Amino acid sequence: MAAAAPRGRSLWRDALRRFAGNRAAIASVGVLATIALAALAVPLLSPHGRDTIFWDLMAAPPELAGWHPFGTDTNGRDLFVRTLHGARISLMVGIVATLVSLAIGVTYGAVSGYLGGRVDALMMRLVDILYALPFLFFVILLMVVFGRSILLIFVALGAVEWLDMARIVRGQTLSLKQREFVEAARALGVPSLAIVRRHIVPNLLGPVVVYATLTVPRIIMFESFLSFLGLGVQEPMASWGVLISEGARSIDTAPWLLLFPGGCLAATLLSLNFIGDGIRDALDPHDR
Amino acid sequence: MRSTRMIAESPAADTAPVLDVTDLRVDFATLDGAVAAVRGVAFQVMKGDRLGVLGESGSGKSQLFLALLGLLAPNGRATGRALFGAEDLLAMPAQALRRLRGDRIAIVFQDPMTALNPYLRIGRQLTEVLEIHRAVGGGAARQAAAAMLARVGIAEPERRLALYPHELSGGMRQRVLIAMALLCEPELLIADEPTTALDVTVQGQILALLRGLALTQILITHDFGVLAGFCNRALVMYAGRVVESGPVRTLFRQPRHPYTQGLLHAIPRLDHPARQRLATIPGQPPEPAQAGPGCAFAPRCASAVGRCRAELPVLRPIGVDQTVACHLADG
Repeated sequence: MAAAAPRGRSLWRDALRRFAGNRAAIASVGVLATIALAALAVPLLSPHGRDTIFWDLMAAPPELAGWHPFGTDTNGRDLFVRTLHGARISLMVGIVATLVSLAIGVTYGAVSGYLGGRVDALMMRLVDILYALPFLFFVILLMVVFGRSILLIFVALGAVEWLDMARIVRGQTLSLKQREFVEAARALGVPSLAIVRRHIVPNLLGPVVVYATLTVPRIIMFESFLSFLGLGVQEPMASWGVLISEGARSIDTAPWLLLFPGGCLAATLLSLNFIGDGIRDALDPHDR
Repeated sequence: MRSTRMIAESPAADTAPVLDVTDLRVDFATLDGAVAAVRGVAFQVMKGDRLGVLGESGSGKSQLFLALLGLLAPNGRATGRALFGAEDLLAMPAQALRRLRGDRIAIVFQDPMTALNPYLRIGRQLTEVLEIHRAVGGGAARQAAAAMLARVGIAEPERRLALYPHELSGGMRQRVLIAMALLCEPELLIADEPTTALDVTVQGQILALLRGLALTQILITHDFGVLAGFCNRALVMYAGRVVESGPVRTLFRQPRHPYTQGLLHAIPRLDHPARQRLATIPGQPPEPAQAGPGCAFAPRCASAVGRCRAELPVLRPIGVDQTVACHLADG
């Protein structure tokens, strides 16, 4: 143990160092950052608008002369631009819905687990009931009642995903509250809410961060799935799910319409999974 | 805060006990019915006392003090009376008891490796206590925390505040925990086996640190040696009851209860021949659930007679300032 470290070497900094040593994870961060930056900087990367129609180029294969690196779709729109606009929607849905599920799930799970007993049982039964709601039915119902909007997709996905988070956090909290430092905090007169906030939640961050990185790809998949079914975003906006669904229809004649958005989605999901694994490995040694 | 407490301590308070426990019982509700961990314990702690509570694992010594502080497991229930000053700890609302913990009564736990939150800096964990009980925060709290670290013998306290628990040795961590306990200047400090998890050399340092505190203290231990070097009075507990109590010197020179005698004989001694077998007490302590009508120690006692198995011996005064719960002991 470092006896004369000038400043506290936090567990987080140690974890960061181990994470930096994980090549797959670092490469994944690079891939993800490239996609995200490209999505933000579409106007700089391509002169075409997302709804500009090239009447002479319908479902044209990739060509660099007119700067259509991904080709054009069946309506003559540049696929490169549409894919990157799709990235905006897909990444945003993934991140925002994950944050929503994180906020609700961590609070709910930690309180339920720490209080325990009857409160815990009641709170978890509510989660069970929500679990039992069929997800698609729930989304269609929302769409019918409130009309389609991106915001609604965030709400729908966040409202479903927090259930898993709450269960994981509750389980972790149950084991954490047996730890001696929680007992010690109680013995020093720290109030329950402060124990949850200062002593339980920071210790939860490890598993929670890992789970969150695995939640983002799942939500992107969910959104793609909804869009594929026609329940997602509407034209002229596009998400990866929409593009893949369109591409799948013309897979015989113009396979690039499926390949490029599909490739981007696959690369993103893989990267997020590698990053999640990397974070878990980086945080683990201290739990052993 | 300070001044009101000074007023509350009238001259007569010097002779009144800091802690006066009568007929304390702790029961745990289990699937097999109620299990008694502590079966009617009474003792007093005077101001300035250093009381040792001696007993093996399962004797109820730890549960006794967790009960006083309202820290029993949810299925535990404590009855009896425990006067701390004028207030009954067992009759207090949970909130009032929480405010008292860490402020007027503090406890130091056994294992310094796990009693600190691994994700928070030492400084944060110390100032938290001041924030809660004294509403002191920021720089003032940090200064007080650093001053307290210096008082418990940690060099360069300012710098240590920025460290995480895993960067400190076991002995250092125990010092930090003691500093946390002392931050609000408690009237009573309970140390639950504070040295058990430490190296022998560090044990000595921690005990010396505790000995140097002008404070009423209760030391829970299973180690006669620790007791001898630290306490002026002691209770010996067996199966949830006090079997003997008195000044530590008397307990050493003239143990009256066969259990105390057995414990004393079981201490390895340098002046005995090396090849001599270490004396032990045969058998195991009884399960809390199965208790016969007689003395709980009778099945392991070499001198037990019929009466021991039939009738529970009560704690009675014997000799000077000593009590014992044994039919066979005589003055």
